This record gives sequence, structure tokens and C-alpha cells, in this order.
Amino acid sequence: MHAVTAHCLNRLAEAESVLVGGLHTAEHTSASVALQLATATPTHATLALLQDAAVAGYGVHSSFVLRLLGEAYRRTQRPLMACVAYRAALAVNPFLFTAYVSLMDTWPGDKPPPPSTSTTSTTNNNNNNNNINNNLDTDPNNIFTLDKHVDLSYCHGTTLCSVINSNNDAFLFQHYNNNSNSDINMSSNTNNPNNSSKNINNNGNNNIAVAMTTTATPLAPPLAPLATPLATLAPPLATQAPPLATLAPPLATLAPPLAPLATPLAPLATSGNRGGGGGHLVTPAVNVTLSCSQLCTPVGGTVTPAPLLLPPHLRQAPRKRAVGGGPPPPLGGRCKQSMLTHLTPSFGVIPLNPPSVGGGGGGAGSPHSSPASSHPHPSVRRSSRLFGSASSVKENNKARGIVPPTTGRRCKPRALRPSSTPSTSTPSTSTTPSMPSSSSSMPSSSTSTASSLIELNNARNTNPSTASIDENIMPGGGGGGGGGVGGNILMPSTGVNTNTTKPTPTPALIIPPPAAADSKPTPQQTPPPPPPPLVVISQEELNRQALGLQKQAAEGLMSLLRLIGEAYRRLSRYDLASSIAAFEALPPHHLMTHFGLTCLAKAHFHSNDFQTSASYFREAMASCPYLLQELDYYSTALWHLQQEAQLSALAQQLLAVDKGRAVTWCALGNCFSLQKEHEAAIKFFSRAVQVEPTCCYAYTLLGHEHVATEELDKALGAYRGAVRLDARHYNAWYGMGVALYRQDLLAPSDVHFRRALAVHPTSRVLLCHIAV
Amino acid sequence: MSLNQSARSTVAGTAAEELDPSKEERAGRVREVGSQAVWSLSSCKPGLGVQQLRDNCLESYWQSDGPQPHLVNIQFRRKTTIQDVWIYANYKADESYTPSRISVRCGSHFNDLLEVEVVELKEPTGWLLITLKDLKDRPGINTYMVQIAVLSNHQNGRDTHIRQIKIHSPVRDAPIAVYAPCAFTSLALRSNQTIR
Repeated sequence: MHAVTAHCLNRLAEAESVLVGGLHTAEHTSASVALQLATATPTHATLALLQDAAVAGYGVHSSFVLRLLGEAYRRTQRPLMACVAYRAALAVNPFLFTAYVSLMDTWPGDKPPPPSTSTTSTTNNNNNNNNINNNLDTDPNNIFTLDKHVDLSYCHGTTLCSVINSNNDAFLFQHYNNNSNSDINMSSNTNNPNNSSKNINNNGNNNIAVAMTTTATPLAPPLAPLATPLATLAPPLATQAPPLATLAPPLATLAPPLAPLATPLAPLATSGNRGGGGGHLVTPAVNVTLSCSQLCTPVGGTVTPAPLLLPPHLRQAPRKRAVGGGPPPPLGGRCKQSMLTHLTPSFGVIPLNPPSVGGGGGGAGSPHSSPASSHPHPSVRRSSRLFGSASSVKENNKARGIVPPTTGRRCKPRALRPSSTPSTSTPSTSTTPSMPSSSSSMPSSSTSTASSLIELNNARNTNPSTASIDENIMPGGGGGGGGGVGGNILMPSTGVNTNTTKPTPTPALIIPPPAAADSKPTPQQTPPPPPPPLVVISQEELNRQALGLQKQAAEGLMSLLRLIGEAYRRLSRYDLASSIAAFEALPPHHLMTHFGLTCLAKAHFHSNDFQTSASYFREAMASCPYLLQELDYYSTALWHLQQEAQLSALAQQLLAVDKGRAVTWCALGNCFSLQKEHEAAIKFFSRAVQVEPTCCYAYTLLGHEHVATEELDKALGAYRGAVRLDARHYNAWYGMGVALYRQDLLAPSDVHFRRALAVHPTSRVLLCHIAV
Repeated sequence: MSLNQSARSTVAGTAAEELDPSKEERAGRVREVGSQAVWSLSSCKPGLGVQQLRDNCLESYWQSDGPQPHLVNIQFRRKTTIQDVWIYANYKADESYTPSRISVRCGSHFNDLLEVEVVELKEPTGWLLITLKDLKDRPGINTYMVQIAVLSNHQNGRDTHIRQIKIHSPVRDAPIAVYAPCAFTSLALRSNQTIR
């Protein structure tokens, strides 16, 4: 059964075979059967069935599985099923923004998709997906169940507050999300890893890095894609973490998988890391919100292969967190990113208190105390948590076991993140109204929480088990997991209040990190030994608080997702004026991410405002020079503006970055087309198509060139290829209309123009063409 | 047509240095359509045939090997509007092989050709442009086949060298020519002309 399902899925998702294969390890046969049934009966009624089956079968992976399934359906021309699957994925995991983006892109357009797919509390009606309301409830609950972690390689050994587990899960989610994002070139979702890398919270990074390391072994293949970005991120973080050496082994494990992915990810990662690293670096200063630009700019220059990055960084990071978190945090951050996609760096950038935590692997107990004292900001807490688990620099990598640290950390980062949007460490909640209270209380509580958490962590770190650190890290990583993490952030603040009472016992339990610092180089997946009973008690309390905080943070994230989702929805409906307004209404640190800028640029592009579009693209490129997501549109904007020098400069730059992307060859083709050398342009566009057969814009441009050379039959073939890939690509429909017009087949030409118009109702050019 | 047009035979002695077919191509008003046609020659020496005539290299040339007139036949799959015929000849390099009288004929097949242009050359040293006009003197002839005949050479040479031949066809930029009777020239309008 299992095999059959696997085969089924593999057939559908040929490109994601690695990930699917990885996921299959966690399947249960019953679930797979159910899933098969669900796939066999594609109706809307099966949404719930699909969801249940996926959740039962894949547990924590269900949302990713569903998203993959959706992607498979999309590729095999079953858009309705794809939409169903995406919605199910979103129902299971409302933070799966990539699924939302795919949903937007696939929606046939006859009936507008419900806009609330990314909303949690307010579900406006999704035709069948009315679980969004419950999602937030069920998700964390699901996550918080321990049994789900049975499959996870990285179990925390300790009592594991559910929070911690959920953190891990969240992390896992993110992880998978990142994985899928990274290995699947989802057009719309490629931003996620990018964003995630950008937004890598120091915390997140650490956590993720830790989580990554822990999960690395079992999930090596899926991790590979994620690992690379994380790895790249990790190094910067690692730099901060003092005990990098301990992390080196875990990172080494990540390095191989990272290596293949190094190129595309490295730049991103480095940028992300930079930001994260910069953020984290030792900054007692709260202002950690690294803007995307921050993240990207420092890194921009450094495109070092991920594996290389890891080891050196690992050695350096004075911060433990960085060390352990080096790889994990980036992952975590990234994971989170992928989930949240558009979460701006403000989210991701929670400064870790590296110095205090600095003890990193070797930090002795002192780091613990220092973090406690120096947690003016959440980041500090995070770091403290990390350091709390300091002993577990390596431990961090391995197990996310440490619940308190992680939860505390997650909470803090989360709290920080929403509040950090204004790029200040102030707890002000930016976009999440639900978090104002928590955020406000965060700073103070955060420190106390941090300290308490650290203490807890320390207590938990009784053994050098990696778990403790991991947990610390995990929270950050888990945060990525989406709401869960957010909740974590909140939790610390609330937890802090309650925890204040607890710190007293915990300090007693603080185990000097040095002991733990023997950082075992091996990223053990084995859960750390259970913490002493004293710690357990506090952990339970902490768990409860963590849960509460998590939920709050999740709500905050949800509201942000809602905003971004709404804006993106308008863009995909080509309701351009309102989408531009919606995007501009986003808080600036969110808008300044690569995703936000490219969306805005595309909105302007489709409304034929090429100057503005080009300027936005320029900004996006300046902020993240290695994110090539939508730059083929940039090259076309320059083509329209006839800016030959800029276009050729863009082409050169893209060539230098990555020759294997269709975007590069599209830019080159546009260059030559601008010079009227259509034959050469045809060659380049064919190469683009060859390099990335799933890039529908390359087909469209190829078609345009064929029309220019009067080879109308070939043009029609190219346009058909584009439409096969993406039925909502109005450019291709327009091109077909033009080609048929040239052949004087007026009626079919009219049909195609109208179809293009159906997709893009406000295109002036289209209207003119139809008029003629 | 032939008589009137032969009376229009031009004396293109010195091909101006500024004449360059690729400039026209880059300007975007014309397109080189030789690749859409089937080329054949009346005769050629081995190694100096159609390839060398169409290889975009001014060093290689076609050398004929038979009786005069030497013919270059260009046959299109569909009726194509031919606006310009560019011929590169260099007296300094080819001397007696340089053509001195070239006739351009158009039609639908070999037995249906009408002479459209006759050109006299006087020691050419570069590109030679022959603009084809139809009966009403509008530029461009809509035809299936073009034949370039070399009637005589300098110094009464028997065989001829021709280094390169290009055929230009006007480009229809706007797909809908009706509502854009004049091509937009301003950037703002042109960017709104098509969806790319």
C-alpha cells in the first residue's frame, strides 16, 4: 500500500521525488491508503478526506505532502484538484504561504478564490475549506502532540514540553517547506526560501540550524536543499557563536548535502546569514530587525559555497547559538521563512545575545548568567537560551530537546519579530494586534523569561545532550514553523511572568555550560536524557505558557499572512491598482523584502508602467542580488524601455550569478531581441526553455521572437507550450492571438485575445487588440 | 515592366562606405529573409558555393564555373515582400572577377521571371544596394522567386566572384497595422503597443 501510494505520488510529482521519498519514510500505511482514495476521487468533498488522510498519514508533514500533491496536480493539468490540495495544505498548516501562492496561481479564475486562505481566525468562507478557523487551534494542537514526533528524527529527549515539540514540528514544517521550496522550483514560492534566508532571525537561524543539524541525519536528502541555505546562514550565525568548533561536525554533515545546492543557496544564505549574523552578532542592542536589505547587502558579496561557509563559521561563532544554531538556525529561520514567505526580516531578525551567550560551546555557566542579565531584548533571550543550552552547542544541533530554552526562545523571537517590524527591538507589535500586550510585556518579560528559560535550559542541560541546545535553537527554528513559533515568542513573555517564580529553582539547576560544552561534534538525534525532575515541573508550566504564547504569536503571524495574502491575491487576479495599494500598505520592512518588491514590480509591469516596475526591480536586485525569481520580467521591462545598456548589464550580472536559470537566458534573449537580432534571440530563448522547461515565460518570449521572424507556426507552438504550463499566462494567449491575426484567422485570434482578457481584465493593450 | 525598369538601371560605381545592410537590420525596419529561402547557383567551383555566399564573411566568395550569365536563384516558400538586395563586390580584390552588369529578376518560378532591375557597376568596393520597386514604384516586390544574374564582368572576365548577398524584407512591427497607421516612435507609446 505504502509503495503504491508512494508510486502514485512519485509519478505525479516527478520533480519532487526526493522529497516525497523522504516523506514516505514517515508514512503510515493506513494513511496512504486513505490518501490514495482521496486522490482517486477528486471532488471538493474530498478536501476533508484528503486533509484527514494526510494528517493521519504524514502527521507533521501533512501540509507539505498536500502541497506537493497540489503541485503534482497542477503539473498534470488538474487545476481543480490542485486547488483542493493546496487548500487542504493550508487548512492543515495555515502558515504554508507557498501553498497559498500556488493556489493563487492555479485558480482557474472562474470563481474568485476565497481570500481568507491565509487567515486563521477569520475565515471567510472558503468553499470547502472552513477549517482555517480551526487551523490555528488544531495545528498547534496537532503539533503539540508528542506522538507526532515519533517519526521525527530529532526528538527532544527531555520532557519536551509540547511546545518544544511543536517547535520542532514547526521547524520540521519549515524545514520541509524549505525543502520543497528549495528543491522544487516553485515559481511563486521560490521567494520563500529567499525570504526565509533573508529573514533569518538570528534566533530562527540558530534554532533552525540546530534543528537542522539534529534532523540532518535522518532527513539528509530533504535537508539537503534546505541545508544549503541554512548552512550558508549558519556560518554568519556561527561567527557569532563562540563555540563553533562543536558545530563543525554537524555542519559537516550538512555540508555534503549543501554542496550541491551551494550555488543558488549560498548567495541567498550568505545574504540571509549576513543579516542574521549581523543581527545576532552580539548585540545587546535590541534593534535587531534586520531588514532584508541588511541581510542581503552584507552578504551580497559573499557567495561562498555553503559548505565552506559552515566550517569556518562554525569555528568562530562565539555564540553558542550561532554554533549550534549555525546550521539549524538558518534552517529554522528559513524554514520559517518558507512558511511565512513574506515574513520580513523584522521577523527573522531577532538579535541573539551572542555575547552573553557567547559561551557557546565552551561557555561555561557564565553565559547563562549573562544572558539572564543581559536580556534587555528578546534576542538576548534567545541567545541566552542558546547559551543556556550552551553546553549543547552541539547539542543544539542535535536535539531540539531543550524545551524551555526553545520555547522561551521561540516566544521571544516571535514576540520580537512582530514587534520588531519597526526595526526596533521594542516590543511594539507591528502587524499583529494580538500581540501588543504580549509584545509590550515582552521586553521585560523576555529578559526575565530568557533568563528563566536559560536557567531552565541550563537545568535541562544537565547532560551534555544536544537536546538542550537544540531546543533552544529549535524554538527559533520552530518559530519558523509558523504560528507555532510566533506563539513561542509570545509565550516567553507570558511565560516569563509565570516563570519568574520558577527561575529560582532553576538557577540552582543551572549547569555550567562548560560541562555541556564538550559539545559533542556528532549531531545526535537521540533525545537527550530527561532532565531532572525539578526542571520537569517547571517545564510543564513553561509548556503551558509556551503554548499560549505560541498561539498568540501564531495569531500575529496569521494577521501578517492575511495582509500579504490579500495583496498577492489581488495581484494574481490582475487587479493591479488595488494590489499595488495593498502592497504599499504593508509595513515597509515587509515590503522591502525581495518578494514584496518583485510583487510590486510585477504589478506595475502588468499595468504597463515599466518605469516604475524597472525601478522596483532594481531595488529588489540591489537588496538581494542573488534572488533571480522574477527577473525575467525585469528584463522585459527594460526591453520595453529600450534601455540597451541596462539590459545588457543585467544579462551580464545574471550570467555571472547563475547560468542554469531560465531567467538568465531570457535576459540574454531580450538583449538580442532589442538589437533586432531575432535569430540569436531565438537561440537564447530556446536555451532558456531547455534549461528550465517549467518556466512558461521563456516559452512566451520564444513565441514572440518567432512572430518577429514571421515563423508563425513555430510561434504558435511556443505559445501553446507556455499555456500548457500556466493557463493563466495572459501573455501567451495574447501572443497566440497575434500570431493568428497575422495569419488572418480573425475569429480564432479574437477568441485568444478574449481569453487573455479574461485573465487580465485591465490590460489596455489587449482591449485595443480586441477592438481591432 | 522590364523595359521601363531596365531604363532605370543605376550606375552604382562606388558603393559608399556607409552603406551597410546590418545597420538597416538593426534599425528594425527590415529583416534579412535569406534564411527562409532555397538558394541555388547556375554553377560554382567546389568549395566556393552557396555556403560561402551566405556565410556572413566577406572573405569567402562564390566563384562561378560555367557560361555566362551566372545565376543566383532564391526561392521562397511563400510570397515574400523583397525590398532590398544587397551585393558585396570588391574590385580591388577580384579585379576581372568583379561583376559589371547585374540583372535582378522576379517571378513565381523559373519560367516566369521578369527583369526588375539592371545595375551597372564601375569598380565597386563594398556593398551595393538594389532597391526593388513594384509597378507603382512602391518599395518591395511580393514574389516567390528572385534571380540575380551576372551578365558581364570587369575586363570581360568569364567567371565571377560574389562575396555576399543579403535580401531584405520590410518588417511589420505592429501586429495590427490598421489602428496604427504610423508606427509609434515615442517610447511611452511604443511600450504600450504590444504585450510581451
